[in-house]
Amino acid sequence: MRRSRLQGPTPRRHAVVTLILLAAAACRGAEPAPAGEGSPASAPAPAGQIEASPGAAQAWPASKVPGDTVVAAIALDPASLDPFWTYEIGGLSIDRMLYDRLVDFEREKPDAFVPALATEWSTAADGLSLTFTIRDGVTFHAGGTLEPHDVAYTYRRGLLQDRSGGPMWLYLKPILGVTSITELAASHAGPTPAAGGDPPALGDLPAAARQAACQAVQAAVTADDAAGTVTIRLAAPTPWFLQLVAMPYASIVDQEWMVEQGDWDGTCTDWTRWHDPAAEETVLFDRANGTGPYTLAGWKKNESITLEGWDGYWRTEPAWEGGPSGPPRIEHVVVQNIEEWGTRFAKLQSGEVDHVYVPLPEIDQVEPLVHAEHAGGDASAPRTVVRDDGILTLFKGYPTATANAITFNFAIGTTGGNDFIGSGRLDGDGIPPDFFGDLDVRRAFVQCFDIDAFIRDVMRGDAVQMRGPIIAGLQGYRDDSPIIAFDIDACGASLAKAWGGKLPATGFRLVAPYAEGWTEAEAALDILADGLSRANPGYKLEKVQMPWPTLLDNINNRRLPLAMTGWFEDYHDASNWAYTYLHSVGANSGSQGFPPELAARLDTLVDQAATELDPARRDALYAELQQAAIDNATAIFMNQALGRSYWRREVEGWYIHPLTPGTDFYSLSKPAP
Amino acid sequence: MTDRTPPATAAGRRLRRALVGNGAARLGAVLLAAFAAVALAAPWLAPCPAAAARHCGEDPYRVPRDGFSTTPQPPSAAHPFGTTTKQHDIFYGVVWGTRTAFKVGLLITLPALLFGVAVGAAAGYAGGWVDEVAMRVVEVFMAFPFFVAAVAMASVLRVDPVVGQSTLPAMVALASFGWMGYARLIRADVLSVREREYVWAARAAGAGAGRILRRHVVPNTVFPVLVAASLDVGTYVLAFAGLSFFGLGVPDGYADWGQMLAGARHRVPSLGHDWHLVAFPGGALVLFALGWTLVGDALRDALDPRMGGGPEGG
Amino acid sequence: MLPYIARRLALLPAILFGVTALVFALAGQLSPGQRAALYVSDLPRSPDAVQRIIDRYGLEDPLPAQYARWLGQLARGNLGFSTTGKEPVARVIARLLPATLELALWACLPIVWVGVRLGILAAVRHGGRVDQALRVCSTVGTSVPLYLVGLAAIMLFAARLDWLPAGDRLSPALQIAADGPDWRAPTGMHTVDALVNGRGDVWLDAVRHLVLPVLSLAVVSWAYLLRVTRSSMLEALGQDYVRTALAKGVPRHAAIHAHAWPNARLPVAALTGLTLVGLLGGVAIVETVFNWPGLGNRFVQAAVSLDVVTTLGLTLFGAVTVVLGNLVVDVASAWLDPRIRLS
Repeated sequence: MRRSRLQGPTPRRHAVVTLILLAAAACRGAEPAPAGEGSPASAPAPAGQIEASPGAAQAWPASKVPGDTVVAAIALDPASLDPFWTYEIGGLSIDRMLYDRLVDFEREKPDAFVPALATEWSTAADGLSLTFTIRDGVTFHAGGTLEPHDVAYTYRRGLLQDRSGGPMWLYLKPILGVTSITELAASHAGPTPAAGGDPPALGDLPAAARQAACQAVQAAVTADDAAGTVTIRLAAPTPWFLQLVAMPYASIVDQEWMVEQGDWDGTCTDWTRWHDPAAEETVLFDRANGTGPYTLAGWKKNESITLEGWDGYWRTEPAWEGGPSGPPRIEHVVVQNIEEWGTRFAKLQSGEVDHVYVPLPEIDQVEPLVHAEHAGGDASAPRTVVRDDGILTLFKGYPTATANAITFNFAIGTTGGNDFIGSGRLDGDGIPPDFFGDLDVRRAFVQCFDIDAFIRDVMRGDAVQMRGPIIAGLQGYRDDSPIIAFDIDACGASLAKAWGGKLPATGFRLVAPYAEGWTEAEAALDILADGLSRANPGYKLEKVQMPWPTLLDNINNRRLPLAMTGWFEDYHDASNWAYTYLHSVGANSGSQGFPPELAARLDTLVDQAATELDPARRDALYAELQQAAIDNATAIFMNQALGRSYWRREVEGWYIHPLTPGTDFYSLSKPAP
Repeated sequence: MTDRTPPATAAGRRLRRALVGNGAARLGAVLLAAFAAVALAAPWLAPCPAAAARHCGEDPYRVPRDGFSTTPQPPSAAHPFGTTTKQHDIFYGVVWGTRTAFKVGLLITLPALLFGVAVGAAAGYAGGWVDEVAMRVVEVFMAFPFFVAAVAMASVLRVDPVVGQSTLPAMVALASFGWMGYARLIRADVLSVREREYVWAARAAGAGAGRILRRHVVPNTVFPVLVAASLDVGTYVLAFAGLSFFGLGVPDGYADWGQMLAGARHRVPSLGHDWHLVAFPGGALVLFALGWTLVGDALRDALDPRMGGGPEGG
Repeated sequence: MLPYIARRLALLPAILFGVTALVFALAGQLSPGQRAALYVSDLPRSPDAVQRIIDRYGLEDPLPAQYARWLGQLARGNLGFSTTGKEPVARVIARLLPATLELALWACLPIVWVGVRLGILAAVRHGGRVDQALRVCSTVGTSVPLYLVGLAAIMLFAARLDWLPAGDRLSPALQIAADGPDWRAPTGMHTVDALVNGRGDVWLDAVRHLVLPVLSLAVVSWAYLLRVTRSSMLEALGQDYVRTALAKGVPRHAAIHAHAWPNARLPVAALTGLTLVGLLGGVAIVETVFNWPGLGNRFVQAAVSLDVVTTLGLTLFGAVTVVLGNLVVDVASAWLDPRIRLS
C-alpha cells in the first residue's frame, strides 16, 4: 500500500490529506514503525537529548485504565471499515480484529500460516487453484452461521466492487489476470484498447461484456456447501497468494446479512450498482458483522473506535504455541484518534492510555518514561532495563516493510506550465524537461545525497540503507550488492560529464515540492540540496511545501521533477517492490516516464520474475532487477524503516506483524501484578 | 464659531498629551520603536550565518538551516537563541520575523481600514438604499465568526501554487473579514457629522459629495476608527499566529514568529528543556502585540472612552 | 420591539443566502481537480481516476448550477454528506453541537463572572495598585496566543502535576458507560446528562475534563470583558447621582451596587453577548488543543481540507447562531434598559 508516498503526516488538522497522511504516520511510528540501534542506556546522552525532563525522581502516575481495557491513542481514523474498500492502516487495523480470514499468519511470520476459518487447504499441482475446507459451527456477531457460500460471496463482492484506488488489484491480478474489473469487462467487449488510450468506463461497455465479467468472477471463486469447501482458481501461479488470503482485506462476511442490509445480492443481473462506491455508500462503511474476537461497539467518526470482546468467539485452541484462545482477555479496546502530539503525550504521562503513537522527532521526549527496551518486535527479544521507575516498555529495531525513495521524473510534464523547472532550459535558471534522462545526472543526484546524515539525523538511526528497490530478506536482496555511494566529488564529476559538460559553467535550478507536514521529505530534500550546492554553488535545488490539492494536481500532470515516495508493502515478496519501483505502471515508477527501451526491459524482467516458479531462478531474476535499478539510477533508494512501539509496562503479549497493520489486541493481556 | 472648529484639533491635543504623559503608552511606543529599529537593521543584525552560508538564497525570509537533526539545540555562541526542531536559527528568525510582523500587522490593518472607511463613509453620507445595501453586506460578513471565516478563506487561497508560498493568503483572509467594524464605526459618526454646520456650509458653497467626504466628513470622523485600528494591529498579528497554528500561515522555515511557535508545539511537553523554542519567538510576539495594545489604549483613552468592537481571535 | 424582531428575522434568509453564496464564490476559486483532491487520499493509479471523481460530484458544472443544486438539496432538508466528517453534515452538527455548547456555556461562567467582578474592582480602585495590576494582566492577556495558553495548561496541570485530565470529555472507562445503551442523553452535555442519570462520578469526571479548556478560553477572553466593565463602571461612578448618593452618606459598596452597577451593566451585557458569539473562533483552537470533539474542530478540518459541503453546512449553522445571538443580545439590552429603542 502506498505509504506516505508524496504526503507525510499532517500537522494535526488536515483531514484532507489526513486519512492517508496519518496512515503513513502510524505506519512509520505507531505500529509497523521505524526504529534503529538507538543509544544503549549506558551511553552518554547525545547533545540535546532530554535528560529526564519532568524530574528523574518523579514517580509517574499509576495507570488509570482498568485491567480489562486497553486504550491506544494514535493519530489516525479509518477512511472506511469495509475491508475490501479501505486501503489504509486505520481501517485495516480495526478490521483485523472484527473479522476472520480463511487462514491466519502464524503470529509474526509473513510466510507461515495457521488455520482460521478454513481448517485445511490444498494447492493444486499446477499451482492454479486452491481449495479451502470451511470450519463448522462458526457464527457471525449478528447471529448468522458461516457457510462456504459466504466465503465465495465475500471474494466475489470484493472483486466486483473493485473500488478505484482500493486494494482489489492485489487479488484481481492473480485470480483474473487483470488490474481492474473494468479491464476484465473491456476484454470481453472486444480487442483491448491501444496502449495509452483511456480505458472505457464500465457503463460504456456493452451489457454482455459486463455480464461476462461478472460470470468470470463467479467462476473463479466457487463454493460447495455440501462438501464444505471453497475453491479459488488463479490465472497464473502466484507464490504469495496465501498471504493475500490472510490479509485483513480478505475478511469474511455473511452473505445473508449483507443482502438484508442492501448490499450486492450475489447475482450478475445488477452488479454494477455496487461497483466503485464512495466510502459511505457501502454497507460495511461504519458497520461490521464479522466472526472475529471483537465486535464493533461504536465508531465516533474522527474521535474513537470502541471494540468489545465477543464471548461467542469460535477459537478454542491456540493457533500457535502460547497463543490466545477463547474470548479475549482484554474485554474493551478503545482506539482514540488524537492528532495533537502534546495531548497524546500528556495522556500517556498521566496514565490515561496504554499506548501512544510517537512520531520520530519526539522520541527523545518519551525517553524518561521508558522502563525497559526490547531489541525486537516482541517480548522474546533481548531486554534491557533502562529506568526502574519507568512506566513504558519499548520495542524497537524490528524491520518494517516500509521504505522511502526519491524518484526521478525522466519526462517532466510541461502542459499548463511548470514552475518547478524554471526556464525549462539549461541556462542556470532552470532544467530541461528531460534533465533526468541523462544517466550521469541521476547518478550525481544519488552521489550527492548524504544517506548517512538522513538515517542518523532524520530517521534517528531507525533505518537501514536500501540497496535498490527490494528490501532486506526478500528474493534478490544481497547485502554485498554494489550501490552508488555518497561522494560529493564523484557527484561533481558526474554532473561535469552530463549534458555535454555544460553544467559546471551554467549551473541549474529546480524546485522539488513535498507534502506539507512530511518532515522526513522536507529534510531529505534539504540534504540533497545541500549536497548539490557543495558540489557546485551553481547547482540549486529548492524545496517547496504544498497542500495536497496543489500537489495532486501537479502529480497528475507529471510536473514534479523529483519526488519523495514511500511504500508499505502489500505482501511480503520481491515482486511487490519490483513492480512498485520498476514497472512502467508501478505505483511509484508509473509516473517516472522511463524511456521506452528501459521500460520495455524492466517490464519484461518484472513480469518474468513474478511468474517464475523456480525459487533459484526467481532469486536470480530479482537480483538482476535490483542491479538494473542501481545501474540506471532510477531513484535514490534511501532507507528501509525500523520499527518502534511504546506500551505501558503492564500490557503483555504484544508482537508486531510486518504486513498486517495495527495491533493484535486479542493477544494482549494485563496480568494482575 | 466654535462649532466650525473641526473637532480633530482638540483631539490632536489630547492625543499628544496621552502619548507623552502616560507611562504605559510610553512603554508601548518604546517597544514599537525598538521593534521598528530591529526590523530596519535586520540585514546587519542577522546576516546570513557563516555556518549556513550555502543555504542562504535570494529570499532573506527563508531561515537558513544548520544541519538536519530533529533535536533542537539550546542557545550557543553560534546560535544565540538556539535552533528549532528543524535547525533553523531562532535569532535569525526572530529578527527577520520582526519585518514579517510589521508587514502582516500593517498590511492587514491598512486595507481593512481603507475599505471599511470607504464603505462606511459612503454609506453613511449617501444614506438611503446605498446605506441599506452596504449595511446588509456588512451583516453578511459579520455573520461569520471572524477567526473561523479567516481559516476557511486562507485554506482556499493558499492552494494557489505561487501565492500559497507567501504570507498573502492569511493576510487577505484576515483583512477580508476585518473591515466591517471600521465601516460601522465611521458610518455612525458620519451620520451625525453630515448634519453639522461646516458640512452644510461646504455644501452651500457648491462642493461635490466626494470633496465634502474627503475634505470635511472623513477627517472629522476618522480618529475613532484609527484608534480602533491601532488596537487591532496586535490582534491581527495574534490571529495570523493562530492561522499558523493550523498550518495556514506561512511555509515551514519562513521567518515568522507564529510559524516558529506553531512548529514548537510538539516540544511543549519538554519545555523545561526546550524553553528557547517558545521563549524567543513567543516573547517577541507577546511584546509586539503588547506594544500595539498599550499605544492603542492610550489613544483610545485620549479620544473616546468607549471601545469599538474589534476582531476576536488568535 | 416585536416589529423589530420580525424585521430582523425576515432579513435572516437574505443574510444566509449572502453567507452561503460567499462561501460558494470562494470555492469557485478552486479548480475542479483541486476540489477532487478531497476524495482522493492517495495517488490515483490513473489520471482518469480524478476525472471520474470530478464527473461523479459534478465539480465541472458552472458554479451557479452547483450552488442551485446545493440549495435544492437544502430545501429538502438535506445538508449533504460530510466527507471529512464521514457522516451526514446534519449528523455532524447534531452529534458535535452538545460538546461545543457545553464548553461554551461553561466558559461563560468564569469569563462573565470573573471578568465583570475584576472590572468592577478595577473601577472602584481606580488608579490604585489593584487597578494597575489588573490593567497589566488584562493587557498582557490580550497579547498571548490562545493555543500557547492551552498547551501550557496541559503540560503543567495534566502532564506534570496530574491534577486534571489532558483532553477528551470523559475518562475512557466512563466514556464507555456514557456510550452504553442504558445511558439517557437528553442534552448530550455530560454535565447535565450525568445528573439525569444520577451519576455523580460521571458529573465530576466531566467537570474535571472541562476545567482546563474552559480556563484557557477564559484567560484570553476575560481581559477584554474586564476592560469594558471597568470603563463602563468608571463612567457610571462619575455620574451625578452616584456622587450625590455618596455625598449623602450612602455606604460606598451600596452606592456601587445600587446606583453605579445597574447603569454600567447595560454595555457590559451587550458586550458579553458579543464576546460569547466571538468565542466561536477561540473554541476552534481550544477544541483542537484539548482533543475536544466539537464543531469548531470539525469546521477547521473541513475548511483546511477544502471540504466545501461540510464548510457550507457548518458556516450556515454558524451564521444562524451568530445572527440569532446578536438579535438576542439586542432584545435583551432593550428589555433591560427602556431607554434603548430598537428601530
